[in-house]
Order: sequence, then C-alpha cells, then structure tokens
Amino acid sequence: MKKILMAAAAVVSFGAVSSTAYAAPCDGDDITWIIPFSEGGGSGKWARFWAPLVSEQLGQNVIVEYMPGAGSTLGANHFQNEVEGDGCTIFGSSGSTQFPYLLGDDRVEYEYRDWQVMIATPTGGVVYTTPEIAGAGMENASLSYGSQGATSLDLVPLLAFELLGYNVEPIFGLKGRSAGRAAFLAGETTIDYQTSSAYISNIAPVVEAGEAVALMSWGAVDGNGDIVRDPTFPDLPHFTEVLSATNPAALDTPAYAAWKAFFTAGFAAQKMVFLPGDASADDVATITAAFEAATMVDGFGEASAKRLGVYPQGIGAGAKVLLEKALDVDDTSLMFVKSWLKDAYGVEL
Amino acid sequence: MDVLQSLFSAFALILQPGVLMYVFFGVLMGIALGILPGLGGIAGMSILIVVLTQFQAEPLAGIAMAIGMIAVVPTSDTFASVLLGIPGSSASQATVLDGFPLAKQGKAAQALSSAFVSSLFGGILGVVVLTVILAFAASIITYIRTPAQFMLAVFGIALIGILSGRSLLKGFLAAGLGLFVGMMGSGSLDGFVRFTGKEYDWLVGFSDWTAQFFPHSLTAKNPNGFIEEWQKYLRSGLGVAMIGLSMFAVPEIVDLLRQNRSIAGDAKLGYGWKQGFMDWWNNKFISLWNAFVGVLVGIVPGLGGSVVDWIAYGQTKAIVAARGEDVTSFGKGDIRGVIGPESANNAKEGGGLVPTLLLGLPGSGSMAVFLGILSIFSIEAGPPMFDMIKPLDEFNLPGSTIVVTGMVVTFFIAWTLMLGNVMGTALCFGLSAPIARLTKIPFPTLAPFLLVIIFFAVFKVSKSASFYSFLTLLTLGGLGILLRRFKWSRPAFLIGFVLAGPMETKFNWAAQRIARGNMDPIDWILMSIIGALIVLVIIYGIIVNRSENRLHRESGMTLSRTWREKLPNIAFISVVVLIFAYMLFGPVTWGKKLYFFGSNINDAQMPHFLGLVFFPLALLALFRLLFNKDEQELLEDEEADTRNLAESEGRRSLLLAFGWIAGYVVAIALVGHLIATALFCVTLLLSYSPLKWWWNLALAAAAVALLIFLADLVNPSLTLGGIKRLFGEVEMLDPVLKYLKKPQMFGVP
Repeated sequence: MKKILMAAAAVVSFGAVSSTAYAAPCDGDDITWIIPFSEGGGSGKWARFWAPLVSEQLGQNVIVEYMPGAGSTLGANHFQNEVEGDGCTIFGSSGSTQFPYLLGDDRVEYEYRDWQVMIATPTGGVVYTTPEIAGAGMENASLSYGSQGATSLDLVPLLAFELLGYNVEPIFGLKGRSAGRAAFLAGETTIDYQTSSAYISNIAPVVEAGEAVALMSWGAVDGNGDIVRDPTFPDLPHFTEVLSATNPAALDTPAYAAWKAFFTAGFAAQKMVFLPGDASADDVATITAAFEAATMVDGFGEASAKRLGVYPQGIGAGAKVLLEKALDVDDTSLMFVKSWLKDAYGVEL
Repeated sequence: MDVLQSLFSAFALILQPGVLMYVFFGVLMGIALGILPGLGGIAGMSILIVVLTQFQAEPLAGIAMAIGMIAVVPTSDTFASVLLGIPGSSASQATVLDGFPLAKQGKAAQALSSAFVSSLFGGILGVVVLTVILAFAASIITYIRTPAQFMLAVFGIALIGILSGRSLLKGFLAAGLGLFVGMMGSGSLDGFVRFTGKEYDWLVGFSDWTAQFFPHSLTAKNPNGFIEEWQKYLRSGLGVAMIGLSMFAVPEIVDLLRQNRSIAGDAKLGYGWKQGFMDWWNNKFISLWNAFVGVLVGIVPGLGGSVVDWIAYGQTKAIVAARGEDVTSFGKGDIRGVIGPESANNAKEGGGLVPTLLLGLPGSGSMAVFLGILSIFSIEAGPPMFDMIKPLDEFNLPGSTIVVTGMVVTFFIAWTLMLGNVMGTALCFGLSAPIARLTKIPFPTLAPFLLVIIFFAVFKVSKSASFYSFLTLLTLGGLGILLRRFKWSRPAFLIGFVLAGPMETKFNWAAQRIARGNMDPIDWILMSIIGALIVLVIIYGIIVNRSENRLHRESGMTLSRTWREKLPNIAFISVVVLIFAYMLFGPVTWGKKLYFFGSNINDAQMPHFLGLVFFPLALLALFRLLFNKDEQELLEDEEADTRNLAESEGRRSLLLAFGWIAGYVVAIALVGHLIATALFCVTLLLSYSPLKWWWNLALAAAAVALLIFLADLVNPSLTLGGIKRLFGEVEMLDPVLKYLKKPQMFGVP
C-alpha cells in the first residue's frame, strides 16, 4: 500500500533524476537497506527517516530490512560475506558495529576499509534516570543499566558511569537499545541512554510527563576535536562538563582519554551507509547524489532536526573524513579499554 | 490518558476508512483460508507476515488484517464442515457431526445460518470478556517484570506439554523440539552460533566434498559446499512464518496430495436460512454457555483450537440431557450440535488474546504467529501493551490526529476482532452461494497455486532470501509430517519455538540479577509463586493423565504392535533422542562452563539447561517404547492405524507425496525457481488433476504467471538461473530476462 504511494511519488519525481548520466542502481529494482538492529532502535528510526526521501530522489524503492543479532555483527558479517556489489543492497552501520571491529572481537568477519562509504551521520546521546534517583543524588544511588554487551557502543556509557563514580550494575544480553529503553520504562532498570533520534521520539515525551529526568548528553565533537554541547540538546550539560564539575582530576586520566577516543569513534560518524567494495563507481555516485539531493529538498532541515537531531550530514567526501575519524583510535586508548573490559567484565579480546 | 480514554481512542481508530478496508482484506483472506483445503489460519497468518514486511505496511493496518483473518476463520470453516463433512479447520471438527447430516437432509442453509449467528454471538462475547479483562489488568500488569516473565514462559511450556494431548512425554518433547529450533543461530550474549552443526569439521569436509558436484555454487559469492552455506543461512535464526508454513502447510498439502478421491456430495445449500436464526434464538442459553466455555478454553494457554469444539459439543449434550430432553438425535442432524461448537470456537479467539497480549503466552498456534506479527511492528506483548503515556508515533494513522499508545493498540485489537466477526458473518451470509461452489474445487487442481504461494513466501520471509529457505522448509516440513504422523502436537512445537527467544533473554536477565543479589523482593515472590504453580500443574497433570490413560486402557481400545510395526516409532524417537543429545552434549554447550546463576553467563546456558530437562525425557520415551508393555501413546502412528481402513484405500504413499515437494526443491536447485515451478506445475497437474489436459496446462501457466506476478510485485531475487543455463546467452531472451530480473542468482555466472 505504502509502496504504491511511494511508486507514485517516484514517478512524479523521476523527471528530476533521469537527467543524470548514470544507469539506475540495481537496474531500477528495489534497493534493500540492511540495518543490523531491530526496528525500534535509533538505527531503525534513522533508516526509516532516510529511506522514503532517498527513494523519491532515486525513483526506485529503498526498503529497510532489519537483521539484528550478536550486537550487530551478524548483519555486518552478512553484508561482508554474502552481499554482492550489484547496487541492490546497501548497509547502515552504527557505532555498535564499529566497536567490535576496533576491539578485534572474534565475531567480526567484516572490514570497514573494504566498503565504500556514502554518507555518515554524527549523532549524540542523552542519559536519563528516574525522578526519585535524580532527586536523591546520583552518587549514593545503586543503579542498574540494561546493556547489549560491554564491547558494543555501551562501552561509552559504561566507562562514563565509572568515571563519574556511579554505582551501576549492567545487565547484558539485550537486543538493542530499544530493549534497554523498554526495561527502563517498565521500571526494571534505573539508568539508561538513547541515541538522539530514539531519545527525541521515545524518551522526550516521558521526560516531559515528569516520569524520567535527563541528566546529560554525551556532547558533540567540534572541528578541533574538542567536546562541546550537543547542538540538539543545547540546554543539557554534556558528560565532560559534568565530570569536570564533580571530579576535574579525572579529565587527565587515561580512562578519560580512552572515553574520548571511543566516543569520537562511535558518535562522530555514528551512522554510516555503505555499498560493498565491488559496487560500481556509478552506483556509489548515484546513491550518494540521491542522499545529497534529499538534504536539499524544502523542509529537510526542519524534519531531520525534529526526528534525528541537529547534526551536519557528511556526504561523499565528507563521509570519508568522518569514516577515518571513526576508525582512528590510538593504541594507548585501545590497550586501556581492553584491559578495563577484562578487569571489569571478564571480557577477553 | 486513562483506560476509558484509550478504549474510546481505539474505537475512533477502527472507524477510520483505511482501517475498515484492512479488516475487510483480512476477513476476505480468512474466508478463503477457511473454505479452501490445505491452508488454515496459521499458514495464512504466516503468509500475511511476508505480505506485511514486503509492503512495509502501517502497523495498525497489519494488525487489522491479521485480526480480521483470525476472527473469520472459525466462521468460514463451517462451510466445509457442513457441506462436505470435512472439517474446514481443526476448530470445526465437532460441527461435522450434526452439520453434515443436516446438509444431507437438504438443510445446509439452516445449519449454516445457525452456525453463523452462533459464531457472531460467541465472537462478540469473547471480545467483551477480553476487553473487560484487559481494562482491569492494565493496573497490575506492571508488577510482572522480566524474572516473572521468564517463569511465565516456563509455565506456558509446562501447560502446553500437559494439555496438548494424551501423552505428556510427547507434549513436552514436541515443545522441546520447538525450543531447539527456536534457539538455533546466534545468541545474544556472546553471539556464538548454536545448533547449526558448524562445530563439526567432518560436516564441513563433507560439504566441501559435495561442492565438486555443483560447478556453480548455490550462492555466487562464497563458493563453499551447500552444507556450509546452509549453516550460514541458519546462523541468523529462523522466523515464525517459516515454522508456521513448514508445520501447518506442508503436512496438510502432503496429506491432500495423498488422497485419491473426489469429494462426494454436490454441496447444495438447500433451505432454512430464517429457520436457522430462529433455532439459534430458541437455544440462546446453549449458545451463551458455550461461548463462555470457548472464552475459558481460549484463556488457558495450551488447550487451544482443536479441543474447544469437542468440549462445547459435550457441554451441549450435557445441557440437553440435564433438561431431560432426548439426546439420541445428536449426530443425526440436531441443530444444537451445530450451535454449541460454533458459539465456542469464535469465542476462544477473544479468550486466546488474553494471555497472548497480557503475558506474551500464546495459547494456540495462530496466537503464536500473531505474536510474530506484533513483533514485526516492534511492540512486545506484556507491559508495553498497557502503556498509557508514551505515544507510539509509528502507529499513527496517516491523516489522523488520534494519539496511539500501547493501551490504545491493545483495545484496537479488541475492537477489530469485534469488527472482523461482524464483517465475517455478514460476508459468509452474503456470499454463501459462490462460496459453496468454491468448496467443490478438487484439491490437486489447487495444489500448484498453494505451493507457489508457500514457496514464494518462505523465500521472501527469510532474512537472506536464498535457496536455503527452500531446503529449510523441506526439512522442517518433513519434521512436521512426522509430528503429524506420530500424533505429536504441532501447536506445541510452534509455541515452543515462539517462546524460545523471550525465555532465553529473560532467563539471562534474571540470572545476572540473582548472581549479583540485585533482584527485587517482589520479583522473588512472583517467581516463587509461579514456580509453585508450575510444580502443582505438572503434578496435577501427571495424576489426571495417568487416570485418563488407565480408563482408556480399560475401555479396551488398546493398540498392540509387532516389533516390525514399531520400527518407525523407534526410529523417530531415536532421532529425537539424538537431537536432545546434541543439545546437551554438543560442543556448543557441553564444553562451556555452566553458571546457572552467574553474572558472566554465556549463550550456552539456556541450551544446556534445556538439554538437562529434555534429554532425559527423550531417553525415557525411548525406553518406554522399547520396554514398557503397556505403552500406548508412544505407539500412535497414523500410517499403521489407517493402513487397513477402507477409507484409506487408494491413498498414495506418504513418501510419494513428500517426494513431489522434495522434487520441486531439487528442481529449483538444478534449473532455477521459475523453470522448476513450470515443470512442477505441469507434471503435478497432468498426474493428479482430474481436469482435461488443456485445462491443466492452462492452470500450470496460470500458476507460473502467479509466481511472476508475485515476484514483480515484491521484487524478490527471482531465481532464473536455469534459463541462462539452458539457453546460454541468447540475446533474444535479454528483454525477458531483464523483466524477470536478477539472472545471476544460483551461481550462474
């Protein structure tokens, strides 16, 4: 039903695209967009935001397919091993896909440098807790946190909680951040974070209703590599601010340096869209152009701010720069995180 | 938002024209499933999952279609029961007893009319009870948190094991097999892969050895042997639609392929429409009582569809007897024998939604698939469905300003069930003449179309659409046939499959909290209460089961088998023992450290734990079969039971019928999906269909056209390998190939 509408929209907009010299990717068939998570998380929302816009530009359907499992390595491995570069399949990675790759997790069969990046979206995240705990003070609370696993993107919040001196019990094995959110909303955990898009649509109303309290954002990385307030949540203090207020000495520790390195890797290019390495340059150019054209459409800025947050999209060359940022973690931080994972959670990598 | 507001919001939602249309779609599909042989509600909903995901349907639209379908199947299945004397679905078996005699007396219309009115009445009563329970449950549901939900899942498995048939062992083991298949694939803690056999090097070696026989590997990118590729396919786990189709479509179709008889009777409607309504009115107490019986049976997880009509039939007779009236007319065309079961079988859907929505415990096979439909829209049964704060933006209907929360979705389900019942009854009345004609279509004529749809659906429902979805369908379909043959509960298998995932993640959660001593006292209390209930239910089940079986033996209806006749049973149970041995002792589980309540648990815990339960049970079953002289239930074997019956005369062999489907899969591997379908349809129709040969060829062409149409509609990677393999690079074919898409599937270079 939706498809018919989309097809109609595609026909209307086809005139705009047909002027490009390239052949349509996948011979004009539907393009499958693999998201290695379940529907409810931030990646799903991000993909569902983009898919109709890009469909309209390409004049062909882009269908989001969810392939959750094993902290997103399942979908990424599938993309690496099974998907052909015929332009019919694109992949949306997230910070959770990056971290096991950076840490050398043995589930990882994929290689980012094999793939061709088309766009990269930075994002942020917001930490929130219950009104009771926020009122009583975080330092004394015994907190619980529903997590996908210590080697996922959850590494950033877990390390942050440790730096802040929060007493947090992680509960592992959840399938995506949406499950963590559900556990918080059911009153089973007491602290949680969501990436910006999921926070805006799912938690902001709960905070407004007074059932949860936003504590801080993770911040954003500026052009100099410094951490500043998240432009989407300018009123919220960011983690580094909170840390420097409570324990300024911690800012000079290797733990904070590692946090910053991994935060930059995980959030500065948190969500990226790839084609396989053997995809044709034409397909890469066409799909990249479609993403770019989608950002030029009237009302895009407003809609994306409302649903994804205010972040500059890295497209084409910009995406490549962000990808390099995402893959660049210094050895000291890497070693620190590996030994911390082993000490704190018994994870051997 | 409070409960009443949610109820009204949900009502406002079903009045939206779009929603009305979707319910109508669902009802139409449900009517088709009810009257056509071969596919029932479960298979239909499995196909619906494919439709919904392929078209990225709006969540409320998808739910409306599914509920419309659930609502009408127990109404429309009455046509076959009354007109042909063949139950249209398992919930209408008892309707045959009096409905068919009435039809033979020329009063089919009277029976149908009573049945439809009873169905409508029962259906609506079921919705009313459902709504009241949901409204009251909203305030207490928040206490049932993850640890209690884990115990509830165990409780569900226990009930299903006990209630699904005469043998507890068979019930439990069927559910256990479902759990085994449900845990296949990558775990969520450390992500290691369970039960695909990839840890056995010899299997991989065998796989590599086979690769030499396929010059073009079955998937182009990684030229491994087929077993290795299959293991990769299984790594991401299987979906509920795959299980629904292999358990409930393949065995039924194979069974119908075996039948070599034309349907007797000429399916005349006769007279008595008005009389039928009057009959219902005169027996409204029977209808009311049985509607309540239906709701109750629906609420108890595990009892489900196939017994509700028999219970209601018994109740009806008891009521009539208690009034001091004559019961000898039952079975000879007593209208009350139609009204009772039909009032109950629609009411059970409302009841069945209670544990499904409230606790995530599906009571029947169709509810299990419905849970799968909810999960594609990422709404989880239990507390999220009673949330009245958080707006679910994705559930908003286009152009409507009604705020949708979990609670609104829940009431929306109740309202659409009501709407589906009303629409379904109206359509069954209105379309009775054409529907009655449809019931006369001989099955072999229909078979190619059903198989095209099923194969297409499993191909598309898989996460990685590939040939291995056909192999999986064939393998699990074979298992489904065996479960049917030896009378193991297939709903128990399906429910076990559906509960496997939640059971494991909830167990992992509770185990970590317990290990750190961080579990809430209230969770402990609830867990203990449910745990005690589980023990009580199992003890009670064993006691009741023993006394029932003793009565059964004393009645003299015992089976006795020679060793030779027992061989199939022994072989089957031995395979089951091997499966659970693999679950318990396989390298995936046995080698890993056990931390039952440890904080660093891993993905081997739950399989290990289940292996400890099910492996001894499977062994026990094998020992009883071999050494217990009084054993009855494990001896059941449809083949042996029906071998000497007159009605099975001319029945084709099971292997032959299964061979058709296996042949289709092999053909797909060799020449591609499209050519294989053409060959298969032509051969099957010419061999079995009673029509003239030109008609059969036309039908085969229509079936192939259906495949191309479906492929074009949802754009699969239609597997055309064979065309190129047979004809090479013929330029003339290029436009055709371009239209039919993706010729590179199946490794054709």
